[in-house]
Amino acid sequence: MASAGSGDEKAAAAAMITLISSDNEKFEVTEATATLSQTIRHMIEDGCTDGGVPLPNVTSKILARVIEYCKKHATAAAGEEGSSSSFSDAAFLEVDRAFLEELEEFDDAFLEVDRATLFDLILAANYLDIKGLLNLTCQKVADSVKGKTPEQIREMYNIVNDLTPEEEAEIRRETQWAFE
Amino acid sequence: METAEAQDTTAGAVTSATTAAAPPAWADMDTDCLAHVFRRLDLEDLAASAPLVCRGWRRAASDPSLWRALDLRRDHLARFTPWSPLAAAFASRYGVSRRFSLPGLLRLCLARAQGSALDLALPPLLSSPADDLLHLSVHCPRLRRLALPPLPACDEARLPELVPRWPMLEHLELDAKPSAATFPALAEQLGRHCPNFATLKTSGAVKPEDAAALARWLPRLRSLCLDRSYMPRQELLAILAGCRDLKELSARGCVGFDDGDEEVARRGARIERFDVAGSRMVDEDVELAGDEFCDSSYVDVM
Repeated sequence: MASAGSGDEKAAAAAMITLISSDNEKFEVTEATATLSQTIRHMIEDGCTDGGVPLPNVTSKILARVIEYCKKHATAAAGEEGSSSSFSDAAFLEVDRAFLEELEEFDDAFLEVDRATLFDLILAANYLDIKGLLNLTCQKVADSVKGKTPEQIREMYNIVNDLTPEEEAEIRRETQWAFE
Repeated sequence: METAEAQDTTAGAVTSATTAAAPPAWADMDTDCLAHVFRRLDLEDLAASAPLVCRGWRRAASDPSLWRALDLRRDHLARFTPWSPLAAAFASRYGVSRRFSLPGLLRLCLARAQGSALDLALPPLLSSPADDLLHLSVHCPRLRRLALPPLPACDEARLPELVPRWPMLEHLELDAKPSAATFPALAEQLGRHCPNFATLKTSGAVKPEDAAALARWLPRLRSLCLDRSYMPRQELLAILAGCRDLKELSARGCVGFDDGDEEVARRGARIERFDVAGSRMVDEDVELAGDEFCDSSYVDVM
């Protein structure tokens, strides 16, 4: 007897994807979680995910964080879809708002990382093409730079100024002409 | 133990700029990734800080795509006057002293955009509008959206001849509607040279020749906003009859027709978003403000 339940389970089991980090650690995730990454979505569409998806640009430490983000946001997306049909408008809005607040809190907590991790998260989000995560992490850096002088930015991000005096003079010239 | 192993492999793996040993080099971050960060910076930081941090940041900050959308209207007095923090930063970091101006900054931004500017909104801080307009007509061949401050009559009269330089223009906002001497020519140029032109927003006195020009040259206009204009009923009806593709028409707070006018409502019914709220045949407020209103408030103060 093929009940609907066992069919769903089968579909769910089939929709698991294995991601392999640069240091060869394997992570099992649902397709809904994995496809927050456009890069992985395309791989799935092309049918090249058998035997796992190798991600040579992402370490296990960073991949674990990325998956944590995707899981949370995939759940939120699924929750929104589910609730829209089963609640009255007012109740739906209430649930929706609670979801968004929870998600915002999650994002804030998620960003509580050191600058090295933030850097790696941006690289991973860019490589995996996860729009929300790229937004979140890049906005954090942009906010930290806001209103800072070049010196303060260098200090904050441990950047050595490799501009030669000639190059700095060139930048000044490039800028000054506009105001002549 | 496991962690140590993991890190060893990481060092050997193809990572962009990081290794397990050294802290990540923000200076060497992919130009691509840095551009994502820079896209979220204010113009101040992008123009006055990022290029001076290091070579990598300078390269990323000069990406033309970062300079495509230039809204110079927000807080323009606080941001772009010669005594703003931005002017101070330009003076100390670039040696641009006492000459800081909005037109200069505009030239700089357009040079960085390298002809790719799509969206431009200018506040009323242009020093010689004719030159500034000519400059942006030459350097923005892909412009899609343009918002301009009120212009002196002589500069306004030159707008029509600049229009052919913006063949991709879709959206035009003019804080002050050009006079009936210029507006028909402007509509004609937009109709002839800008096949995607769809949205016009302006405010001023709408004369019969203006309405006729809209109907003749811009019959495929999708959205028209003429809020707070002097708009006689006949002119509004002519526009409604001539611009049959309008999806949106806003003529709120106008003087010259009544917002309860039945014929206006009937002709406007086919437009998805039709809003004429607050429009009156005559401006009662002005009459009121003439004598009685001022007198009574004066008495209150006494």
